[in-house]
Amino acid sequence: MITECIDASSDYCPCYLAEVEECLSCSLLNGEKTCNCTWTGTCKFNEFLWAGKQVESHRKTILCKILEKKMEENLLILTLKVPHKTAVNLKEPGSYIFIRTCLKPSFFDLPLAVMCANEIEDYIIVTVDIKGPKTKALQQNQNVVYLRYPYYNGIFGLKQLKKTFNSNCLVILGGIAQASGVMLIDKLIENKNNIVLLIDRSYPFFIKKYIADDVKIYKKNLSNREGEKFLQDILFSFNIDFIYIGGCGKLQENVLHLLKSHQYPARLTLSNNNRLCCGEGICGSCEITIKGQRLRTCKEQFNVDDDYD
Amino acid sequence: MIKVVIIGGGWAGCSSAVTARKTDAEVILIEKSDVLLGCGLASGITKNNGRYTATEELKYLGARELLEIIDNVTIHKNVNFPGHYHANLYDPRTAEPMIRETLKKMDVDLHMQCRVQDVISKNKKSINGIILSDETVIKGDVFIDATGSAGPMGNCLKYGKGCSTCILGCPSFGPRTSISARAGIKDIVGSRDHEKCGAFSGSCELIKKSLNQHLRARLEKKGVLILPIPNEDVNMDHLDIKACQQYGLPEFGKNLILLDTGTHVKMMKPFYPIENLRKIQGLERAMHACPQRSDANSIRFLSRAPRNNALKVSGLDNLFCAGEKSGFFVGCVEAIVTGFLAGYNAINFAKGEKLLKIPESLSIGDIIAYENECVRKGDHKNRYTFSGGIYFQRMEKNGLYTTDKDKIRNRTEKVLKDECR
Repeated sequence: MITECIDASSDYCPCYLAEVEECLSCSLLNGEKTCNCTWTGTCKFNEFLWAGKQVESHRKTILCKILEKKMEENLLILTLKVPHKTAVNLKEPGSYIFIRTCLKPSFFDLPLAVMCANEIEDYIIVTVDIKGPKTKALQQNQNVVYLRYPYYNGIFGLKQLKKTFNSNCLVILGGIAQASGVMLIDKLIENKNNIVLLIDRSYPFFIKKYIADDVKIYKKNLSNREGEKFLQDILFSFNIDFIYIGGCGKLQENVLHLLKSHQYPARLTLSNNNRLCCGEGICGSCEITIKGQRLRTCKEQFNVDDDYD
Repeated sequence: MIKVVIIGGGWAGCSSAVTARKTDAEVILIEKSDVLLGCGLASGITKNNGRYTATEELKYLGARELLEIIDNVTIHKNVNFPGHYHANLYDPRTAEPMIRETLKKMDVDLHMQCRVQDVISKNKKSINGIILSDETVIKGDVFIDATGSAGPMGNCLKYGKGCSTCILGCPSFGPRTSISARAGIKDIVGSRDHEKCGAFSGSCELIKKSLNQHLRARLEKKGVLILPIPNEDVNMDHLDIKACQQYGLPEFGKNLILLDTGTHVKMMKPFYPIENLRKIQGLERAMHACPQRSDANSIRFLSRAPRNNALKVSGLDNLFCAGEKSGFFVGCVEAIVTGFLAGYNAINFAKGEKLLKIPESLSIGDIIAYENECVRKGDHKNRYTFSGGIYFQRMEKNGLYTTDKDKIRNRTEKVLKDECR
């Protein structure tokens, strides 16, 4: 199974993993004897040597101004001022950031999907579900926060997404992960796709005002048999060929199970629900095992269609 | 219908394609760059020493097409230079379009600028298909790995002096992919001393027009020029780092040997810094053609597949190998030989027939068996070619080397009778 590092050949490549022979892309920077790469357009080994065998640029934590702070039910919606380049960089489906209150140390860093990025007025919007210590700390009355960015691997199957044009797409969203669906839907619209949006009713539909008017929206409880039946009807009546599931593991499992039992062929993309802690492939908290292969999911893309069970 | 998929459009891959297409099989040839021949675009010497014998054997076995193209583009016949006799010099750059025409005429399905990225192997014992870098899947019954052993950039950097912008164009077309390694079979890595892996390509090319007129006229008349190297620039170490051990003779250290291969001039040095080169009379305005860097060359022999003498890759049912992938072989004739056998056996395999092992009574069978034996014993340092080095010594010792056409025909005919009923 070939996986791809989302940061390969980017501004942040080679990264610290190269320094410790753990590069996810270059075999020579992974302790192997010979080059056996999957080629992303640059030779990481070359870049690494020219940089003096060390990381040239890494992501930094900076203070950002909170432009707007809103509470809706239990959700904190933050509009944050960011540099122009950052707004441009984060305007990609799958983008995420780490955020923490300016009063606390780095282990308060919380990964959040970027819901919207505006590169004209240079801000981003994120949504926080107030749940535990990290999120509660963000409620404190401050007008700045620490941000670390840009991170890109919030969605698995980005390659599939980018090559989806003029297709019938089903976007299934639920829970806090629905934030990841906003820019994904924008991308699908940009690529002239026909979109059906299915929202799991068990959670507030907080992204509503960010969704274009002409998107067909259905709200159902997807955890019962009725929901399953509804999903099945949509698949076949709309002749769906691309599916995104932005929701909890249980929701993803249910949908994947349904697809499998019908042997329904569709390009699949999923939200990355793993515990992200450093975002740099270092800490290992996001690691999963697929077909015996260990993946650092904060950075690694894999082909969901073939590889996810 | 049998579907044969060949990966790599060098001499070996082209030879496999021609051989396999002589049956009614569908043959797909995949090449990552926009031209055929790969490293072979910098070839140009044939029939020197034992290559004469091997070429004749091949012709009698029926693999004539590519050899005839080489004959057609031959510029100098029967040239001698240190350690090498009766060489023919040809222009590979004029051979490329002719080979492409031949393949098209034979209905080989050519896929240019397609780079294989991965293989599909459901049971880990055979290959079901290959995946291109644009995610297209190509399925087949039998596969031939002729992806070579040169580069990619990372290897040239680690074991050489960095990318020399050589003829393979890794930065533009992407690196080669070891098909056997992707299918889970570990590559055998060649070495040049205890620490260093691989070897430098043994020659580079100069732009002919950049030689002074007098020198050029002499070269074009004789085919070969031997120019003494100024004492301070003699570097005998170059002889050890070369892929082509047949040119590792002291004469090649003390002299600059230039051969006329038509479009360019072949310089029998892995590299030669341009400032030093221009100290030599007649080369004051010399320019390198390929590789474009004058102080580096590509690194080769890092990716040999374990295989049997029928050129089937060990551990996989339907993968064959050819060219440098199949052994530490040097040269176009060696590539055509292994390509021929891999193509022939790919068809045999698909038809469920016995695989051919060319008997050791022919040099082309002996080199395949001998190289395998040496590598199995753990020798990863030697290279094998009909034209020199340890293998040519063996050919002479065992009486395999001859320029007597009747003798070669007789022994080839005997093999045909024994092996093919």
